[in-house]
Amino acid sequence: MALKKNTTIEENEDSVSAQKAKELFKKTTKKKKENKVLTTFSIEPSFKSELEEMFADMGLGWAAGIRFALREYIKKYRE
Amino acid sequence: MSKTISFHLQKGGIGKTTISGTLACQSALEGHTTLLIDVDPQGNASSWFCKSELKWELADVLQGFCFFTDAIVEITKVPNLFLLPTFGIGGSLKKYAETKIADEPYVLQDLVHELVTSFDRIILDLSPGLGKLERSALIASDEIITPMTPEVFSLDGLEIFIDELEKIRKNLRSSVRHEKIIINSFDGRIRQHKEIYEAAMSGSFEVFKIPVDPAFRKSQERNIAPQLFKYRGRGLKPNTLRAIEKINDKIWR
Repeated sequence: MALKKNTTIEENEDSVSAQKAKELFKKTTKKKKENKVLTTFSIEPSFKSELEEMFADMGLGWAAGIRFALREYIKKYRE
Repeated sequence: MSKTISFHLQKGGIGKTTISGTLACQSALEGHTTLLIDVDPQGNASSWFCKSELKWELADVLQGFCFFTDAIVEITKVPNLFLLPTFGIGGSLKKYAETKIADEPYVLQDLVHELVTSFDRIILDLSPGLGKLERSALIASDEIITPMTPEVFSLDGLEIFIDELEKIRKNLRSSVRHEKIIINSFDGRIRQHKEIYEAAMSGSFEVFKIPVDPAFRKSQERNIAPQLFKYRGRGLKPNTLRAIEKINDKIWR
């Protein structure tokens, strides 16, 4: 008997490699960059000056320095 | 500041040597002192750029039989390009990898640390697989870029590589980056190639593509840089040249 064309298969269906590629690269999707929230806290002026000086030596401003220091703290604390 | 890059996927036949050699040439042709280290016991990159018989190879440097300055050769056809070769025949890299490297996984890293003072850019050409030699080379690099062909076995290979690299990073305390892939032998007329490229672009990798181009193989047969290869007035296609220039421009940043 002659082979009959299967008309139910959708022509635009993803190939096996396309499915595999989508699955694989979905795992590596970029994390969306979050918007920052504004936060305030009080600090002793002398301590603030001390920190500002240290951040300036590292080439960081006040906010960037605080963020950097906190990230480093989290890393160390988790270790 | 010097940078060291490995082009690696454990799958064979995806263009590791072709891409390593081509991008080493591109970097050198653009005026940067570039060293190609042949970390493949088969020594294909070495036989591509070097026809003359040499005395020393990478394995000799690693085992302290000679200084790296004794083994590194200048590729005269490509200004600024240097090669630390491996002999496919009569060489000892394979034996070294099977017997000694397990005891000294950081040996290539130490060598690279010495070499960075002499070269702007270093490329490691690795053999297929993910054995001790390849792991040692991967942790000697600042960045790993994965070449792959647009087909399902390469995708399987990449999935395995991502998983294995995580273990290597943890076990060998490495912070090597893996953020870029190069889809090699890309043919925009083939639907499967387009689909894989589009899927790759949606992920977190920076994705490059190199078109399928027979001039790569021909330049290897004639022991010349693909960029300098011309036969009957024809060399690499303009699209291929543009792709190589773009990759070279991005990967060293």
